[in-house]
Amino acid sequence: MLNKIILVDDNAATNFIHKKFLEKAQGSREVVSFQMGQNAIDYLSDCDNTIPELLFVDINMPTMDAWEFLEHFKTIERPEKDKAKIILLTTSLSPQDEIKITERTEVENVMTKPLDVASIQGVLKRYFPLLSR
Amino acid sequence: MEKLIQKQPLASRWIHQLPSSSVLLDNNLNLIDASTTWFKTFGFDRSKTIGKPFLKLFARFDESWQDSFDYALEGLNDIQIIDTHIGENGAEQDFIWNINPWKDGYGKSIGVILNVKDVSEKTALEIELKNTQKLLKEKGAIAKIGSWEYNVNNQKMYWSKELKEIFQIDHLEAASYKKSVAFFKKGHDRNTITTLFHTALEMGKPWNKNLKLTTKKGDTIWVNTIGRPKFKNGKCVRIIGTIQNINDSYSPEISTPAKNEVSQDSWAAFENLPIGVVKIDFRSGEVLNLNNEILNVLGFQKHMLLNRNIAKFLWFSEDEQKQWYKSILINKAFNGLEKQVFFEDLDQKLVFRFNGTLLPDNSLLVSCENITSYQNKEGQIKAELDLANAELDRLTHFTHMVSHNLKAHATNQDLLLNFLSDEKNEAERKNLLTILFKSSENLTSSIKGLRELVTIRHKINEQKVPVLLNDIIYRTLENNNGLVKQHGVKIHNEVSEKFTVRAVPVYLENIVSSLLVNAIKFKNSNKQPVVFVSTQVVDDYYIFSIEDNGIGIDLNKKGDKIFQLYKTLQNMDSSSGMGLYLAKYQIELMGGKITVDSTLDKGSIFRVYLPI
Repeated sequence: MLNKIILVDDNAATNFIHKKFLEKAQGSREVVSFQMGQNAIDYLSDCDNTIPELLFVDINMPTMDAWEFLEHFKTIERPEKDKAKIILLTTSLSPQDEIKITERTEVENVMTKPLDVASIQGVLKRYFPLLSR
Repeated sequence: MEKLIQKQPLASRWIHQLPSSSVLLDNNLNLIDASTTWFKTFGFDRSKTIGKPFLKLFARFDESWQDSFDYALEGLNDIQIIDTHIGENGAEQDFIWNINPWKDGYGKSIGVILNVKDVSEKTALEIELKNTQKLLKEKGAIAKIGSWEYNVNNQKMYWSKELKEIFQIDHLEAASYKKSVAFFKKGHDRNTITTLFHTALEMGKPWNKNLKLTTKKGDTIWVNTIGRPKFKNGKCVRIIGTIQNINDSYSPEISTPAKNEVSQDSWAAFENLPIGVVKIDFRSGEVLNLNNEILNVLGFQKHMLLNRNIAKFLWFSEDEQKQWYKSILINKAFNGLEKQVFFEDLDQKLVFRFNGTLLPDNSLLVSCENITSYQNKEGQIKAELDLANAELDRLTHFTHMVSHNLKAHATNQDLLLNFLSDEKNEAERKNLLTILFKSSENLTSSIKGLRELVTIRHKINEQKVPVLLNDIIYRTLENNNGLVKQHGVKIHNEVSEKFTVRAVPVYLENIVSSLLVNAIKFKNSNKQPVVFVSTQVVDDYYIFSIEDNGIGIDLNKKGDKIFQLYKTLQNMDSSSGMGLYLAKYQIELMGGKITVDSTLDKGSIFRVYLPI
């Protein structure tokens, strides 16, 4: 089980659903969700909050989309943030997004949402192999 | 003949009164009657002419006339015959005879109607000698064209006034075949015309040739001679033709050595080609000859270019020179060299395509076509294609967003309902229900927005009408009254009562509404929101601007995104709908555009341009 997972999706229902599944999959002790990218950045910049091991970020968001979020994330002056794994979420991949993803090395993967218990367990197994042991 | 008139009383009455020169013939081609003008023109006594066989009235009417009348009787319309009438005094007049069938009320041919137009000599020749048409048109105003006619039976020659002027002889001088030939320069030219004349006479071969002629005053000039044999019963009965003074535009002797008669001869073929042709010495680049068309295109006089280096008036880059030089060495020709040339006098860029062939005498024959219009058309088609592709991109984007958006809502609701059915905890169930309601609202507003978009795509041809902008603004404010009050927005409407734009009212309302909602939605939480609405007329556009003091937009980062669909689609709070995407789309449909100026923390100005 991870210590902290952060969810960023402008759709409250999606966040709610993911939270539920993360609980069921016993993915993380703590799940923090944000509907706006800026709020997530503010949270992560605050040294009082520990950096999560994993972030799920929706690509299409109105005020700050995932690409902008990644730009802001890069500038956060906390070296430990680089250990965090970032997975982007989308309902379907637009052609432009596909191109962008290949250019982004900091992104581990892109997954279609909504996630479910199996896919969450798959992520944990793949990116955090030591945990399952 | 009195009988005839009685038989066709109506017809004869109107034909006689016609102001035009018209003739009515019966089925047997006997003259029923004609207009007063016609009798006068051809010098006939009406009472002595009516009822006579028409073809016998004019000695010059051959079997081709009979044929034409037969065709007309069979129902063929608009047959034209060009005819030269030589009056008693030797004066020549040209006529076009329009031959049409005359039908009774049941569509049956009962005769022929002739309409005669007196035409100037030039017009007649234009039609008669179609091959020289272009030349005549171009040079019509200044062309000195003389015409002649030779009657084979009585061996009589006829010269027009203009021809006599070309020969520089007195108007009263009598014409003859012998004299005609004698005007051509002794030797090659005279031999040529004699041969041509006899070939035409015996074999019916027409000619078109440039030859040298020595006038009575001793001037040697270049003329273009054309001859056409005319046949009757398989025998050549006459030869008609023209002689045109082309000395000003055609003078090959300057550039071509006398011994080179053959190539000079072939040059004549290029002279009046509608494609520009220039002959260049391959080694020196010296211009040896140019035809009329290239002079027209380049806007130079022949003497300005002849014997000068080609580089003086057509500049080619080193690469271009290498390109065709190489091609010539290998293939003895080059093809499709395209070049843009800027003409200062015309303030115009023209595009030429050059093709060249190396001749055995080491001269380069280059054709030059003005392909500017093709190139423009190509550009036009490309622009249209770009437009279509942009629309296709938009549609792809649109479809993508629709599936994306609806899928997200649908799967969410599905999952939430599953949770709900499994949940035992009352408080959590309540929480789930709240989220479900919210999600359902989002879905409804998404679908509403998508429906609007689809409707627009269907109703692209909505009519633009004059709309009072203020009417729209008031209505929008009314509809958004709640939002305005809730945020305490101050609206400054500076639009004059009479300001009218041409727009589709429904679109305009949505545009104003979207911009207003946008201005309020992105208000600066530290300031009272203020929105200015104002108008301007600049060039061909009505402009109305909506300015706010909101949080502003970082245009460097988001400039290209604010009008995109997904930016607004996902965040359906309250009335935003498709927001700016829709507004932009509607503005573009009405032929307008939208721009945005913005400063972070200061506010934004959206300007809507609608064509006047």
